[in-house]
Amino acid sequence: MSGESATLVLVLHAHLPFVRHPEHPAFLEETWLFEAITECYLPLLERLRRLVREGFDIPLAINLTPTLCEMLEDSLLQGRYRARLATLLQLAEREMERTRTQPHAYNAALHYYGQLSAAHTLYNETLGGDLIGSFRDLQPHGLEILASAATHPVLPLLSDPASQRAQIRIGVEGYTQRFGHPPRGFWLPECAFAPGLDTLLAEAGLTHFFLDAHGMLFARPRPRSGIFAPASTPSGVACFARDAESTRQVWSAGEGYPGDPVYREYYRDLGHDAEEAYIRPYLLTETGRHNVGFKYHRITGQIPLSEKAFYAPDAAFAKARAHAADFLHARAVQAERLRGVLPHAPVIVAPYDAELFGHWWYEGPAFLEEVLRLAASPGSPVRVRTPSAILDAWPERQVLEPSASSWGYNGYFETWLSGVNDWMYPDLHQAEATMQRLVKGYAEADDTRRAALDQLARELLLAQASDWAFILSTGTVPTYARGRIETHLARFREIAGMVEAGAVSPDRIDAIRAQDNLFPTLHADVFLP
Amino acid sequence: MTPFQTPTGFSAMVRNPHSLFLYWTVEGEGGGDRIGARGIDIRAVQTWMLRAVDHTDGTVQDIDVQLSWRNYYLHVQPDHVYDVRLGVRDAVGEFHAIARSESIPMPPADWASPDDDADGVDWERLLQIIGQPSPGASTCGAHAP
Repeated sequence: MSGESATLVLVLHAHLPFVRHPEHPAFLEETWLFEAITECYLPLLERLRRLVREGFDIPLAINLTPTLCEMLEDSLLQGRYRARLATLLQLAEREMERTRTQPHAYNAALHYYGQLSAAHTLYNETLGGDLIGSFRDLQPHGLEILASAATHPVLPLLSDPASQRAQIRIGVEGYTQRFGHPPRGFWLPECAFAPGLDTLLAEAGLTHFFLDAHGMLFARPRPRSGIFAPASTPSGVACFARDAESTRQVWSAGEGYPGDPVYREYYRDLGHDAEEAYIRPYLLTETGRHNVGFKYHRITGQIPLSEKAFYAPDAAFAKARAHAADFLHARAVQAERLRGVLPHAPVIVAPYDAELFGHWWYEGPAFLEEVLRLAASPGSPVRVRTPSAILDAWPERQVLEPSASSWGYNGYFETWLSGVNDWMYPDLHQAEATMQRLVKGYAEADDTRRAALDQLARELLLAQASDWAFILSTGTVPTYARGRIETHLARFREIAGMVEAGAVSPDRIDAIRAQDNLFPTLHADVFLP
Repeated sequence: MTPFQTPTGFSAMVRNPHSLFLYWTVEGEGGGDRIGARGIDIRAVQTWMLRAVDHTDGTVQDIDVQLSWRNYYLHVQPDHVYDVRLGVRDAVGEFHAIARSESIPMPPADWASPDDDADGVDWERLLQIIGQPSPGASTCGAHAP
């Protein structure tokens, strides 16, 4: 690591809750996955693969959460995604016809047709639907894939270490099966840390994880390099801390790049703008409207949606490349300010939700590609490196005890623990205790009872997901979120009742498993205390 | 005698350095025997109460609660260690604990004192560059409509 003035660690956290509804022919919440595939994961893969073809390394770290991986691998959802993509491609063709006499709109319609055609080809023909395999194949070219907990719980809010350990172990085992080797790094869901978790990560063979800045800054003892170097926890697992400055530049809707007037306006969408008869065949619901991903306007400024100017894709993507150069320049300036203060070049850690790139910030994948391209150029003062590469070159680390923290609102746990969602914890914690009690006889249980206990574990894991508490906190789709927790806890109680009564119905277990089919190789004894 | 409800579970969760979420579960009725077995005359029970013991500075905080509330957000001090007890205050004002949390270390909300072994780090300059920690807001879940 000699020569450069700063090392940049780019971390993408790709996550969606497990949203799979075989009981309905179509289900609106499944579009969270479909939109993320089309707008984020495929464009990201396309650009990373292009860099590799051009001979670049891609020293990026990415976490694909287990629930996301389970959905990407699910044949039902793959089929539904293919159908959705085909429908949108039909809409793209009609849009080119409809906008043919409107040059500005036609320009964007052409762009969407090209984007959806590329997605169709990449997903169906090039990758054969195997996005996970495509990410796996990028590992030899520098991509570091991080593991994460099974269903993205806020680990400090689980009731005990046995529940936390189960979430971590399921995530690690799934990762090893998928990616062909045990993980080194781990993404703590919501960057939520509490002392003691590092011990569980060490038990699982993990070497590093990520904190929000104050998790490191408020550590005991004080971190000698602030947030600009990895440290070691008492258990020997290393931690990296998020840099607020580089975060703000990309993350903030107000002062960050994604708010530039030239970028695509997310909130104005053809699904709401078009005439009812025209758009209805392309919507997933029989009533009401939802986004379809065709957006013809740019952010323009702080003006009403109805007054937004037309979107010009070429100008927007050129701006993304310019912003990438500015981002790297800002890191070099940041490093210059730290010269003489730190005895080493700073390690600047910039983690982001992957879905920011492409879904919310449509031009974001182009920004990432350009950052990787520019940082690899000769003479760049900033180099991008993976966390594992940094640790390998940085064996002497300060030992400290990080502070409890998260990257949520106000930096702790109140997003997931407030008056709108605190009602769930007594039930969740009771279920965790029940799980540990019932699983004690797992080794001696017959196949029927084991299958019931395995499904019991799946229902508990699904109920533990942080997404439901988050959605209740933001108020976006609270009825759905509350329904998911209540459904999984109801199924949990039903199965627990059967197990306790010694009257397991294999048909009923099969029926529940057909609904909640994730983690097919799960064994419930992972919950043994 | 009217059946007397008692808590069957009591837990404390760290919400942030200044706040603990306490909850208790109440199942069924007729727990009066349990209290009776502890030597408390349930007919004399006046008030349910939380007692938070701060093991860092030795202070004690008493809060009257109603069992039906089922939970309570307790204001605490960062970087202090607490245990919290749920119990009853009898007619003569004596507290009887029914349930007790484990020892709860609260997170710090500020820097540690400078390390004597800091290898000459210019803390003032470093802190100036980093600025005050400003925990950010995640966009996680923002994919939801």
